[in-house]
Amino acid sequence: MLSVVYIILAIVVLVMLYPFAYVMSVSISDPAEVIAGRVTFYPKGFDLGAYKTMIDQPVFFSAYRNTILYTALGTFFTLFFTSITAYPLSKDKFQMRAFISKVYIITMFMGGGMIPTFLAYKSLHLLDSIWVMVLPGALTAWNIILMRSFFRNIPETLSESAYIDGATESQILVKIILPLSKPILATIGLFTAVGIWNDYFSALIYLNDVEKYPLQMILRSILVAATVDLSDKGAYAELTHSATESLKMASIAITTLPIMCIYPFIQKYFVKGLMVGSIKG
Amino acid sequence: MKRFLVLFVAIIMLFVSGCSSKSNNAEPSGNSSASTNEQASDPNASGAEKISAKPIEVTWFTTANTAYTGDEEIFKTIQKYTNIKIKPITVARADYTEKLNTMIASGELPDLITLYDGQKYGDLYGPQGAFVDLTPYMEAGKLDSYKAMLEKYPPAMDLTRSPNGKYYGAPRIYDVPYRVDEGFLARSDIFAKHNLSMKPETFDDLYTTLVELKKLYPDSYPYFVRWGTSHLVGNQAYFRGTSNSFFIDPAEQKYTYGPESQAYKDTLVYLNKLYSEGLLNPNFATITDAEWNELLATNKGFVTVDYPQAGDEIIQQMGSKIQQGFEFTSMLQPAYNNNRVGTVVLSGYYQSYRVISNQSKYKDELVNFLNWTYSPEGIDAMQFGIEGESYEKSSDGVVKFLKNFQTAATPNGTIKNSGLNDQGLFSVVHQDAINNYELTGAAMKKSVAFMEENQAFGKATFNAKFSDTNEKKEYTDLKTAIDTYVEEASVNVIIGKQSIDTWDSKVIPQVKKLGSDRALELINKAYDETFKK
Repeated sequence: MLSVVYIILAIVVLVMLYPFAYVMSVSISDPAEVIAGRVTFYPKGFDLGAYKTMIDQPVFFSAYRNTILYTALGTFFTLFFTSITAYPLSKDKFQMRAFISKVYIITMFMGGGMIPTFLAYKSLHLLDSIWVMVLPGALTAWNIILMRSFFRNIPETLSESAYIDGATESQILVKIILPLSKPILATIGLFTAVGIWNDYFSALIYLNDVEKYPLQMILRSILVAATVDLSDKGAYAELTHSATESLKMASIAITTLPIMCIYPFIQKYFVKGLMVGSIKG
Repeated sequence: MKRFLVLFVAIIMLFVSGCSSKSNNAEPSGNSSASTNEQASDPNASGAEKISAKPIEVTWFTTANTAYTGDEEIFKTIQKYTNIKIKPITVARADYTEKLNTMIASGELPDLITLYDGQKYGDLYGPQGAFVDLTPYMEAGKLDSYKAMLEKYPPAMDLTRSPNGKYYGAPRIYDVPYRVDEGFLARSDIFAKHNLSMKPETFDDLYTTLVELKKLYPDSYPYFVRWGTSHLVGNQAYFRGTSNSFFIDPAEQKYTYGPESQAYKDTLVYLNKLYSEGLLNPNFATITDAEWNELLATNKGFVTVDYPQAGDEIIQQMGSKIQQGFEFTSMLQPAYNNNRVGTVVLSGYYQSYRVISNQSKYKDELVNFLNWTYSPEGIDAMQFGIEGESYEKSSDGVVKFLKNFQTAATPNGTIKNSGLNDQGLFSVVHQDAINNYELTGAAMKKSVAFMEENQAFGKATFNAKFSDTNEKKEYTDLKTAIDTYVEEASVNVIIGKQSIDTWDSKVIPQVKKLGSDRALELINKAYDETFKK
């Protein structure tokens, strides 16, 4: 019985890993072998030209730096603002609790739309600055609810005993509640980090300065071909020459591997954190 | 607790410094540039023939595969010749429309904008006041090079003019009698090896050739076309003098509907014959670029309709692994009913524009700049860089680059992404540019020479444009519904699911029902308005 489970799991693992193995194989193979369709699993030939092309882009390193910066700052802000917002909302003695929660929840169902949001950022002088990449997503109702529910599952007696010992509310949050909330911090942190790492849309709409572009903007210019109305005469002249498969795969490898490497380290919290909603205290 | 507080204070400070430094920076620069503007407009008004009297800095929204930083050769060139420093805002071509729409909707426009769909956006947002109206400048003689170039290639003026009678955009002009576009291509090395002719007289000759190829390479599908069904059928129909949709009939000088013609039915019957005998790649609807390259490189496809540039691109990508003697060059298009339809070419007007934002502080300077891009000096500069520094030109027009640029002819050049010869930036393509950038690969040279020798090129044609947005929408909706239906029916005939006998009895009545007569009426009205005013 157990062996059947292992076999099924092995197949699942293979299905999950094959795309990554293929991406890596193609990215380091000889481009000619790729064009001829001879690369299926193992790399054929060896050629790092695609990686060199990626790194040779003038904004490659600044883009990489920006992505890491946006991800680190954005994740930090998200955790910081979400925890200081969720904590009071988890306290029964806080009278405005229900009202403020409702106000937050409304934002889950109604957004401003793209152009009004753009105009709001413009009047806040956020456009074309790094803050537009890290601040707008820092406080979301969904994360607040997740974290508030987690806080509420921590026995109230813990906070009360700390309070009797003379701790202030902020001390209770930092010294008692947050250390007990690592699973939810890891979960929200990871979701946020991956979200910001993969985010190209904010950069596309809100940034103009090439020096501030994150990595995903470069990735898109390589991966996504433009759609051109081919029924127009001469429209083919507008088609940009598509990148070779090797270059596409190299760009995927180089941009996704770092964020994937984070998973194993916080996976233990991740599993616990995902069960947040299922445990009702 | 302390750590927590310190952190909090630090963040607040970060905020404050971030905001304040921004506003501090913004104000003086805003003031200084405003004052420059005032000073600059004086000498201009007094008639000084300078593109920009004072050094100015403007933003330019365009696209680039590799983002421009503003330090590229093209921007140095522009600054040197015009005193205008460009700060490029670039996104990938795929993201361009989204960004453009946001910019227009929010009213946050950069000084200069490249409008790929220039006619549509120019006609729509120009009259609404988004872009600078060039008409008064043209009347004041400030756009002489622009005007001369547009008048050289009728109907460029008519097509550039918006329905309200004003000019907003600077269109791309192909300043050549013809720039090669799509045509028949074949594996000329294989053809030579097996003694097959690259000049089929009729479509039946082409069929016989494909049969031969299938015999020689049984696991191949000799005729293979990428970019979908419409591309396959459309091209076959084009070379029979018809179309898979509404098109301008050169004989009648008005739009007609292609699929009603006998020629279109012949196209479908022909493709059905190729399909049923294994001569046409059965995946024609879905072949991707990667698959197409693979078929080409592995002798699984020999004849297609595509760009002649493809013959050099594949060799460049394959490098030393390419088959010995591999050659993929132009083939003469077969004649239909003794009429050999010339290939599509580009000449004169092309509906990709550059426009100036109405919010720009430097309208006069940028109008001068646009005019300069149509002048002989500007055309050369946008294509080759700074004369004497980036390139030298001999008296017979042969250009020699003085810097190690990466071009199609010098793929290993160290200066990549120079921005020269970028169709998002330049306004005019001239023969020197085509000779030095396009006609460099061996396959391309051979193809163009072959086409010229056999007089295979056609004449440039231009689509009518609508002055009424409601009529345009009505036409587009009708056309989309009709095209979708006809494409499906055409595929069914090609793969043998539906007999061609049903074409006149079922398909065409359905097309009429979908409103083809109304669509024709609308497009012909637009045609008359565009060209016969």
